Formats: sequence, structure tokens, C-alpha cells
Amino acid sequence: MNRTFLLALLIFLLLFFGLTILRPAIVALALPLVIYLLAGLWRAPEQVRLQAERSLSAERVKTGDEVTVTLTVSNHGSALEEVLLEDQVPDGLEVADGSARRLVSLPADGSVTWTYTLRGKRGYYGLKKVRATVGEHLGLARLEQDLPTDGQLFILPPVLRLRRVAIQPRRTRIFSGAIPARQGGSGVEFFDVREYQQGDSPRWINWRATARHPQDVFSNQFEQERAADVGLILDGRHRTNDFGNRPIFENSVLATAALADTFLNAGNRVGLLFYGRQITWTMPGYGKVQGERILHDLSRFEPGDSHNFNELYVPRHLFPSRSQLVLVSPLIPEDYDTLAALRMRGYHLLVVSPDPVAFEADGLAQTRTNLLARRIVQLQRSVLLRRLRGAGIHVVDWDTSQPFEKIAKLELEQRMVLPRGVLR
Amino acid sequence: MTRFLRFACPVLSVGLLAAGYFLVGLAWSALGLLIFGILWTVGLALRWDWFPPLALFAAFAAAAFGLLLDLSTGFLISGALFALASWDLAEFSLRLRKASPEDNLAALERRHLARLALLVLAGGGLSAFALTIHLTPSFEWIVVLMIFAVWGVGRMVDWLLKKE
Repeated sequence: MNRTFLLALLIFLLLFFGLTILRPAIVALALPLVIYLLAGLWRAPEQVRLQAERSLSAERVKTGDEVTVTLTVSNHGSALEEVLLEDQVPDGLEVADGSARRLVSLPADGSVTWTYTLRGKRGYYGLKKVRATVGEHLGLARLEQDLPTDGQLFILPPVLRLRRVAIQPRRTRIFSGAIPARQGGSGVEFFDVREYQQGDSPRWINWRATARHPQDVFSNQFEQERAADVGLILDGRHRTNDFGNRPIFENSVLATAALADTFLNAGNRVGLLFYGRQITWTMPGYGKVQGERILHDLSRFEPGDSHNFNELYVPRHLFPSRSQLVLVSPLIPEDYDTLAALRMRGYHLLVVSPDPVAFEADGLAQTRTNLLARRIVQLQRSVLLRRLRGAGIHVVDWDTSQPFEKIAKLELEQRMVLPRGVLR
Repeated sequence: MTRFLRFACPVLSVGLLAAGYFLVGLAWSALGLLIFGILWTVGLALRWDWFPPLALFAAFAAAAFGLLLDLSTGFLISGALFALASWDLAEFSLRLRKASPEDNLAALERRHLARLALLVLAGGGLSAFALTIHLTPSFEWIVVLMIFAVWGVGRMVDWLLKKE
């Protein structure tokens, strides 16, 4: 109940009661309350003119790093007896050291400066206001005001370092890189043998082939290594990522960040498509700047449901035909058609799939029913993965209880050997 | 200091009110007040934030009822004043809970307690003065005073709420 109202009600009741039954003592009992109320009224803040300024030690940090926030609140109006200043810390961030609140008296033209440190989960956080509650010492009259400040914080996902990810798209770019281009030329890996041509290094001469054909001299050709277009697709649909409060989506983000970093380090042109509540497209690019851009975008993504598409939708015009696509998704059986269609269009597809069955089962009791249910769903998933592999899609089934680096080392460093008869 | 006074004020309030009742032989009422006092103290210790307003109402009701029964005015008004101080300190300590360790709480407490002490003394003094002058207004004056009191309190509340 409002304190002023309570006090006024009590005064009113005492006065009414005292005057009605003609008891001056009861009216006199109301006098201390009247004095108290008048004192609060007299000292009530008239006009509040506060201004807040914020500075952050960094606007982009890695998950787990701390950021120091410095806040200065200046009073450009009359003196304020009691001001409670509360920085509005968004959900997902926590105060690691110090306090986001101050309870102070502010003289006219005075100011208060304080610092505290924040840390939090991956995400984008707007630090836009400080709430000021101004009152007199008795706390009867209070004014609340939100003081606008500038401030934003990106907490980037951690980037795991992978040695390499073996991909072999049918189409490469003209720039040299690390992707085998299926064309002879200068490189490291043996590709073919051809007749010796002027300019070939004598060290390239294939003496064995030359010995078989004494009239000609043959030299080895090596497979050219070039940069490629890699399109990363991060699945942020609720229906594939929703497991209560447990964030399998964070695993997908972790894998995407690691893959983007590895592809960019190998000189490839990488773009990122996020498929969640809306489709967000990070234009393809090279190098560290692109890496930062992707991390920046990854820090903001949250799972959601698209209003337009029920199924997984990959806009093909964003990716050059026959380029390499990497989908990071827990997958549901309905995704098969979309992925098979992409494969049919000539895209090379790599699917990194955090295993949602193992993930969810990890948090459930080991009852007989749960074990049976897990087995059934696991079988469904196995069928889906087998069908995808049969369509020539490289699928990495990631049990999230294992670190991604380990899975990547086992399944991504070696080139995929497709089953016989599968379209390359 | 605030912590000590937060607990001392309810004890003094209930003690004085109970003494006022006990001295004229109303032992059961005094006992009831003492039990209420224990509950009040426990409420403060357990941080029942809803309890202090209720206690303020109860203490003033007990004081008014005592005055109606012509019990000792000094005990009752003092008890009510300590109840007011206790209610104020309960709210003040709620505000202090939001302070950070680097705030100058000692200065805030000092200023608050000084003002509260002044107000309680002024309120008590004014009540005592009002009780000593023994005016006997006519019925017409009482009606006028009543209308004025109701109108005045209403205006004051309206003004305060608008200001907030």
C-alpha cells in the first residue's frame, strides 16, 4: 500500500473518530502523523534534472570475460536528499563485482560515479537506461525517472580452433586456397600424369611412366588448391532446438563459430544464413573482418519460429550453385526433402547435427519408459541420417556430451568417402 | 543504529501501550498487546514487509481505544509515537537494503534518524500541547473543523499522489 495513502487514511480516521465522539485526545493522537506527513510533503522533490553517462571497458567480449561499466549520474537541478540509482541490467547478464545500484544524496550540480563489472551469456545486450528513484528522507514522496544512456554489449560465442575441415565442392574460386579444385596444376597432392612440357620442373618428371614409354617424357601434375564459397546455415527453429531451458542451440552456435573460423582461416569466402524467427543473411566475405562480422551476428541470434515457413527453407539464390553448404542443425525428419533437393541441385552438403535425442535424454530419469522412448526416437534419427548419407550428404552426428573439437577431429578432418554410385 | 532502533521501537511501543492498559487493571488487553509485540518483532526479524503498516494501524487503534477508555494519555501517545518511528524505520531499512557497500550509509542513517527524532519530538510536543489547552468548541465549530479536516486531508493526499 502507498505510504502516503496509508498515513492519510490513518489521520482521516483519527480525526473523524475524534471529532465525531468529541474526544480531543484522539484528535491530538493524529497530530504526530500530520506533522510527519507535512514534513514529507515539504521536502518532496520538485523537479528532477538528472543526466547519466555510461562507458564500457569493451563492447565486444568473449563468453566468460568481464566488462567494467562506469556510470556517472549528474544532478543539474536542486539538491536531492535520497536518490536510488539502479542500472537496468538485462536478463542474461550478471553483476560479477561491485553493485549496479547506488543510494546517495546528490547536492545541486553534484555527481556520482561508480563502476562495476558484468559478465554473461552469449548475446546482444542493450544497456540503455538507469532508473533513478528520487525521494526525501522519509520516503513519502517519490519520483521515478529512467535516465537514457548509450551502451551496448556483444558477448561473442567462444571460438574453438579446429585444424582443418575437409570439404570438396565441385566449384571453387580462382584464388588459391586449401580446397582441392579437381584441376591439375601446382599443388601438393598428386593429381595426374601428362607429357612433359617446357617449364616443368625436372623434379616433377615421373621416371616410372617415362621408362615405360621411351619416346616420351612424362611429368606429374598436382591438384590445384583454391578457395571456395562456403555457405553456413544455422538452424534456429524452435521446433528443432526447444528442450525446455536447456540450450542445444548454444551447441549449434559453438559449432558454427568454429566452422566459420576454420573456413575463413583456410582462405575461403564464407557467408552465414541464420534460419530462426526470420532469415538473417551475413554477406559472404573473406578474412578476419568477415570472421568478426559472423561472430557479431552469432552473438545476437536466438531461436524462434518463422511465421512464413514451416519447413526448413534455404534460399538458393544466396549460394552459388555447386558451392559448399554447411548446415548446423539438430535435424527433424521433415528436413530430408529440403536437403535432398539441395543435393540434387549440385550443392555439396555437410551437416553437423548436435544429437537432440542424447541431449534430451541426458536430463531425463532413466526409467524404463524413457529408455524405450529414447530407443524409438534414436532409431528414427538413425534412419534419417542414413537416408541423408545415402543421398551423398556428409553428416556428422554430434553427441553433445563429447567436445566438438573431438568430433571434428574424427569426422571432419578427413575427406568424406561417398558410397559407390552416389553423385559427387 | 537503525537495526537496533528497528527492534527497540516496537518493543517500546508495545511496552508503553501495554503499560497504559495494565495500570488500570486491563491485564488481558495488556497481555494481548504483548503477544502482538512479540509477533511484530518476529515479523521484523523474518522480514515480513507487509507487517509494519499493519502494526502501525494496530498500535494507533490500540492507543485511540485506550484514550476512549480514559487511560493514561502519556503512555498511549508515546506508544503510538514509537509505533510511527518503527514503521518509518522498517521502510527506511528496506531502502537501505538496496544500497551498495560503497554507499555512505552512515551519513544517510544519521540524517534520517535526526529528522525522525525531530519529527517524533515535534509531534509528541504538539499532542501534549493540544491536550493541555483543553478547548471546548461548540457543535458548529466541530462540524466546521470536521469538514475542514476531511477536505484538507483529501487535498493533501490528492496533491501528493499527483506529485508522485
